Amino acid sequence: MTTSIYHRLQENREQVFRELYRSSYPAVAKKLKGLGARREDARDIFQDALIVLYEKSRRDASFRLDHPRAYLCEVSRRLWLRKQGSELPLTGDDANDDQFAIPADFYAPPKSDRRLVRLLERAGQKCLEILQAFYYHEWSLGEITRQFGYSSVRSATVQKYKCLEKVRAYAHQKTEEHAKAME
Amino acid sequence: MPKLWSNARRIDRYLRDQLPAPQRRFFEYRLGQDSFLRKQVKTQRRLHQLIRLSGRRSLKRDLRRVHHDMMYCPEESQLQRRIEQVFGG
Repeated sequence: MTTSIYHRLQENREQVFRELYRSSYPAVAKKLKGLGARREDARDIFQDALIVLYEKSRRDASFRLDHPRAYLCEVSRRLWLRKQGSELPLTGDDANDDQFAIPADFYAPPKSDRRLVRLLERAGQKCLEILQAFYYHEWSLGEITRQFGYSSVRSATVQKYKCLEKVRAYAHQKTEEHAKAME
Repeated sequence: MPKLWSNARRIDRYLRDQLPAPQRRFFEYRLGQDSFLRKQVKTQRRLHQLIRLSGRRSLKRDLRRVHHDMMYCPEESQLQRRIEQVFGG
């Protein structure tokens, strides 16, 4: 697991997660228990650390995971501290260069975001999957064409923008309804 | 491609930092002049954010399933024993 975590996660995400469970979960659980976490806390934090790792690999294809256990232990420690409200914020270059950085919105999406996300999930599963593939999993349009069975990249591109428009209209409608209900 | 999608595509490329420098400068100039375009960019940025949040939620659901398999599947008994050693019975 020393090279190209980006490609390995792209090819078989679930298998990589299973390997990381075997190699790193006991060490992370031990560390978190030492910080006062219970079994359920360790389970949630470890899953969140895997998400942080996944998102980092999507943003930075050159990211190397040379020491997965050490990486996941440190990210888990920070996630636990953030959940407890005792994380020390980094500033300036330290924050930019920090390979263990956790996205600012990780535990704090505003309530209205969570509500809108739930609504988007009901707006149309296929559309949302295409949009997640492009904007979250960072698949290329070629990959989307293959995985979703489109006849060409152009068809996939048009479909992606149709979906974006559909979601935009749906979110707009729901936001208006919510605003009216609040009046 | 219809104009609506073509515009959405340009905004997409701007938000994902994929416009070449001259096009980016021109786009930012237009942003300064056109309040409707500014509103479109703001909406699209928010949509990207919501889609990413929903992607994260979906990945979390997958990981809960993986966790369940790893903690209950007989083939993973070694891992299960190690976790038991940490938290006890």
